Amino acid sequence: MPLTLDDTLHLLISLVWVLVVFGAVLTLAGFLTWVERKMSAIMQDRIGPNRANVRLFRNWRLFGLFHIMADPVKLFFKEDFIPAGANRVLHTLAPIISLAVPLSVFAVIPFAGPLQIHWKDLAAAQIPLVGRFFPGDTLHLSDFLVTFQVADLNVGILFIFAVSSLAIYGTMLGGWASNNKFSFLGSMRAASQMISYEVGLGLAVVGVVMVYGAVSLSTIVTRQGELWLGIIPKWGVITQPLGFLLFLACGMAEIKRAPFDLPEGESEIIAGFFTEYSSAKMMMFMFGEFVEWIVLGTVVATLFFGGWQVPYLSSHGINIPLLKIELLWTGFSYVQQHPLALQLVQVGVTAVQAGAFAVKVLFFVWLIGLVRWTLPRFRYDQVMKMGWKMVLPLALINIVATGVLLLCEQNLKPILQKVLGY
Amino acid sequence: MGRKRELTWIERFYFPEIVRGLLVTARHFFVNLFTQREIQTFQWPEEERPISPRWRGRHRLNKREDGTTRCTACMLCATVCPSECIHIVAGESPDRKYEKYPVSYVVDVFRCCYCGMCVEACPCNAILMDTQDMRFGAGTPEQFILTKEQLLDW
Repeated sequence: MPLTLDDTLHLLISLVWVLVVFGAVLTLAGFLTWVERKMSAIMQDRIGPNRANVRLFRNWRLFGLFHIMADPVKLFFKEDFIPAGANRVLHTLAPIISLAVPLSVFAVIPFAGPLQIHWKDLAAAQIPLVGRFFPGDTLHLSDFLVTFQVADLNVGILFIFAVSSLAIYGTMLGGWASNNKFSFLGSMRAASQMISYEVGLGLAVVGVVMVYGAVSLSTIVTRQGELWLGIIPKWGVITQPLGFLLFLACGMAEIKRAPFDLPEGESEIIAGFFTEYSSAKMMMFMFGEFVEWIVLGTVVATLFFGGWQVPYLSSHGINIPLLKIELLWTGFSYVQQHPLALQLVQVGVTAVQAGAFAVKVLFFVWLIGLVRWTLPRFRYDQVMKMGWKMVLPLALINIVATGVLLLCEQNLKPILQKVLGY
Repeated sequence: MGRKRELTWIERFYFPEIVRGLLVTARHFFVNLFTQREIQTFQWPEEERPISPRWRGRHRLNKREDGTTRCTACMLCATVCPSECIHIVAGESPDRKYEKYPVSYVVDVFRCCYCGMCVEACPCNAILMDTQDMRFGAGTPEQFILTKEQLLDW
């Protein structure tokens, strides 16, 4: 089947989103190298990195933001060391895996609501250059849907789990291929911890899948825009409060952040699985960890905090049924008079949604950082005990309770709607 | 120190206590983000930290009114010094009022542990550690062996 012009444009838009998402995530990860140190500093009443400067016509310091540039430059010029007896191929492969894997999770995250374009059809012949490749085709811009997502997989959540479980190969291979006892111990710890918490992580999400009846992330986010009792947005945190807490805790254990940072431990096993790494490879491990940090913030925001949803706001207008507030964009006389105004308003709504998503992600990134610098780390047996004896039973209870409540809601909903009258 | 007590059931539930801890750190975060009120750091080279007058720093030799050292080379400081960092070579004083004077008076600052016992031992109030010099640094180890001229020159 030849590629139609519409498909080509969809493909091109996806490619643009790939660049946008990669750019945004890597920029944020770069900033996090600075944020982590600065944040811990000011939480502990210190100042943090502020000495790297650029001497133009003044001595610029910008709160130490130049450390973002100074650190990679320093690390790149370190010796790239592979220890004797190490498996050279796997030793080099491990940091690549642990950086590439968390990055690919972002492929299924929707970062703004779909935008319906109602403009006009364009014949391929009208567009310069394009007409030669698509003879007789038309670009149906009168009814064109732009999705703000790299790939709208209908198994979105499963894809996230499948891919993020691969991250364990990075740590395992890194520890094993280094030919170092400390590295190996660190990677063993990482492996058992990640496998234990993967169970809790998966079960915590089952509740979300039950409530919204879908595993596709775009569907889950769209359904989170529905209103409960006509006023409360049906965000995951409201329908699944226990699931949210369990997911956040398991997620932090999964990405090996404090208070679960047992694979690293300076006093016990040096740097754990990346003891034998230096230079750019060590930087890739660190960077992979920061990207995983963003991944967790993003997934939590998507599954439990409505993704790109802004409460009551949609591409049609603002709507709160219980308070009988209904504001349609088409209701404004200005929008009715100008054909393109509605389109512009909808583009604006999409921009607001993307902004809301960014704010939510940044909030969770901040929260995870805050947790890291607040809680003391667990002992290893405590981590295992918590994973299997606390999180797993609670997640199972959560699934059963969700099922019971869903049945109750289905039977009570018509009665409630009659009572509240919406 | 407080006696170890039983946890209440809310504390054992763990999550409320986590939230309480997070509120404490978040308060510090926002206070320091916007006001820097509670930050304890001194930005050292630009900002001097107030030093107590009792603070023991680099040594110096006290002078008489005519500019010569008050030291009479009695060797009390060199004897009391636990790290044996003071080396004195005594000579006959040109001034008739005093018996001896130090021909050389060397303090090996790398060996010094800044205990201040030399200052306490000195009967003539000759060696002092009140220079309040925090920026005492040098490029080579030899520069940390202070001669009599360097000790007098303060």
